[in-house]
Amino acid sequence: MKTQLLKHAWLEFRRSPTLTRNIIQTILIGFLALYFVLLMIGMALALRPILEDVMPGQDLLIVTGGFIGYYFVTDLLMRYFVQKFPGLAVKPYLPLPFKKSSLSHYVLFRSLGSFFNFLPLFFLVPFFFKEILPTYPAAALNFALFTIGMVLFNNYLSLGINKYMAARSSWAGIIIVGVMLLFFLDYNGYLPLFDYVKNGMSIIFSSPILSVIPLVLSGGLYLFLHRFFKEELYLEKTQSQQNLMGANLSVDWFDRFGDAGKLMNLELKLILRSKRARAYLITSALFLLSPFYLVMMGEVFMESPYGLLAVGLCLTGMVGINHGQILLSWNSLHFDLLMSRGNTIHDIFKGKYYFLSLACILFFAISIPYVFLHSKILLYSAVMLLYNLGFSLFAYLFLASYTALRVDPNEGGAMSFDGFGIAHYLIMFPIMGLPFLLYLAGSTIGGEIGGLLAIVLPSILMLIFYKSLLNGVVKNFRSHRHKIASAFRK
Amino acid sequence: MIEINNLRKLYNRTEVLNIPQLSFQKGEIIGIVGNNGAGKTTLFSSILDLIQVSAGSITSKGNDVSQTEEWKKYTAAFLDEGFLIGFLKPEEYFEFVGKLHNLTPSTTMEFVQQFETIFNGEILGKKKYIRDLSKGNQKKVGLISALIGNPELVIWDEPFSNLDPSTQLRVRGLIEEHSANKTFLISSHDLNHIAEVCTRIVILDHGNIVKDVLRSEMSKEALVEFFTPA
Repeated sequence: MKTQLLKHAWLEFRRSPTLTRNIIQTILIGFLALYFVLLMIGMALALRPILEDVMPGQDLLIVTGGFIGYYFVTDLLMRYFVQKFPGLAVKPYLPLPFKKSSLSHYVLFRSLGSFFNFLPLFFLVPFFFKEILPTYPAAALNFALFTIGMVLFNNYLSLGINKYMAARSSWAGIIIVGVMLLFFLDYNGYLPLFDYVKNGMSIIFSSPILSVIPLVLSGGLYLFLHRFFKEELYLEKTQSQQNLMGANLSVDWFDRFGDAGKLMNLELKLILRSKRARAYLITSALFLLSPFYLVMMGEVFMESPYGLLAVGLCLTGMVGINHGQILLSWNSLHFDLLMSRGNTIHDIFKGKYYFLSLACILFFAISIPYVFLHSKILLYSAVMLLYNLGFSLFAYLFLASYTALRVDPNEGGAMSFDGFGIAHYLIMFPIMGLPFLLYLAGSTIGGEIGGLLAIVLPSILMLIFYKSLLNGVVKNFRSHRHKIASAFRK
Repeated sequence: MIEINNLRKLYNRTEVLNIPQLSFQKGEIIGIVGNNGAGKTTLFSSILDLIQVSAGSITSKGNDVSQTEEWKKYTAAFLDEGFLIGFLKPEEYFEFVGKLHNLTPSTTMEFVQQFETIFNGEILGKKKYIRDLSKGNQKKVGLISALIGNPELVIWDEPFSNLDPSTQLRVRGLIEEHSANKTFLISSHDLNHIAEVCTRIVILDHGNIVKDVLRSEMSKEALVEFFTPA
């Protein structure tokens, strides 16, 4: 019986839409996974030479300990936002002669199959055998126990949080701001965070009792969750998150935009109340941290206009890339209503454009304080904001007027790619590459100012022709509307 | 109101609808009956310009529905869940639809509250999203939403299915009550309801109109007889 469950789990994975719907996507996801795996293995092999170079004389185990501590905190955050947990999957088995207890074990066991649990192993295993075991035989066992324990602990903790706390997105903002603050304090030297973590880890690695704590905690969590699921399996399909903070937000001000404004409030509610749309928004918000990466990469990148352009793109363009790309697909479940009642097609596209523009502007406004981190970030994100309003958003509108795929906005999370077709992947290259090319062209003539103007002027030109562009999109959509509407019906 | 001429719809070279001529007048209650695959929903979708017809034309008040969007202002339909917005609460959904017809939220809610007997206390003020409602309650939300904004043409696909017996009768009452200034176009597998509420009955079979009669010309028994397997 139990092997039957595992067999089904395997079939579900093999036949999942992400893997079977289109070949390009499967290959892309494969490459992405391979990239991360190689990155991890590479880090395991190269960490010692790099550290000896950057921090000579430091103890390898202790410094690595600091990084590992950071990793597990980041890992927990990432899981919290991104990891998907098998939940409803057991529903068809409930009326069948399976013991509730085995179903509960099954749910808990399946959660281990996540990529998040395998990824750190690609670093930990080679690193353990190459560096830790030969050099630190005394601490080796502690290191192994602690790291394995942390992987399990993070897995079950985020599973627990996921099942217990519905109010995920309200925490997201607080956590992001918290992390930004910590990074900032650390960077400016107000808070020697890394030293604390480093010292903490070196104490842990020298004590078998401390090292085993995560393992013990995960065991406890497992038992606790097992009991919880056994009792709650009936209620697995809990009510969706009505009491979520902000889920009832409605912006009357949108009504100023007339008929298009009615659809903008709908879009807002869609994002706040649909799992996947929310996850995409949070992913975009995570990119608000990108200036810190720039700073961490060092002077070379900080002073490079291309690095700054990339940061500008991350700050103001991610909502478009994440949410805007599958523009109409978000409405696929109620598209027939939008196509036949009251509003016109023009209203739909106008509402989408205004909504995305406001989102880009909002992201820009949030990132204004980065001017204190680096004086040029503000300028470059303003340039990229114009680029997004003038170019990227229209590219998404045009793409959506040709082709679209069905999406259930409440299914899947940040790592689901339903709704993305080949065209969506291909359009990314010109959209993300164009500003760099424009800058390159402009800067050969007029230096930095010339480069930036080469981006700004065409963007403004596009905005001047906003009306005709929008009409073009609508006209194009009208000739593809039946094909798109029927794709949304499946 | 609606004029259909030489309408044909093919899916992969199989003809699913072929209507040389059909027109609906203002104030009619038209019942479309037919077994599965007769083309009822295809006909409705064509009138709403949701699918591309293979040939022919459909006009609403003289305007081709595939060329203009004016008809969207006075036409309301509920064919299936594709017309509901799952992540909204019923009140928000009603208000949204009301706004599409330029009604203020309070006007819309005032209008909707008169259907409380149909909602049976399970829809308004429940703080549930539509996607979490039962099939029957979703249907109620969809049917009522199609009356908001005083549309001139109301299209309901199988309005009686999934509803409890009392609500089915109440929905029938609704049709009669609102028929004075509206055209109703409904389909159903329930011959009783069709025979008793519709002023005109159109029978479809494999995409063809096999009967198009006034209620006075066809008794309920004759209708049942028509569908009795030989």
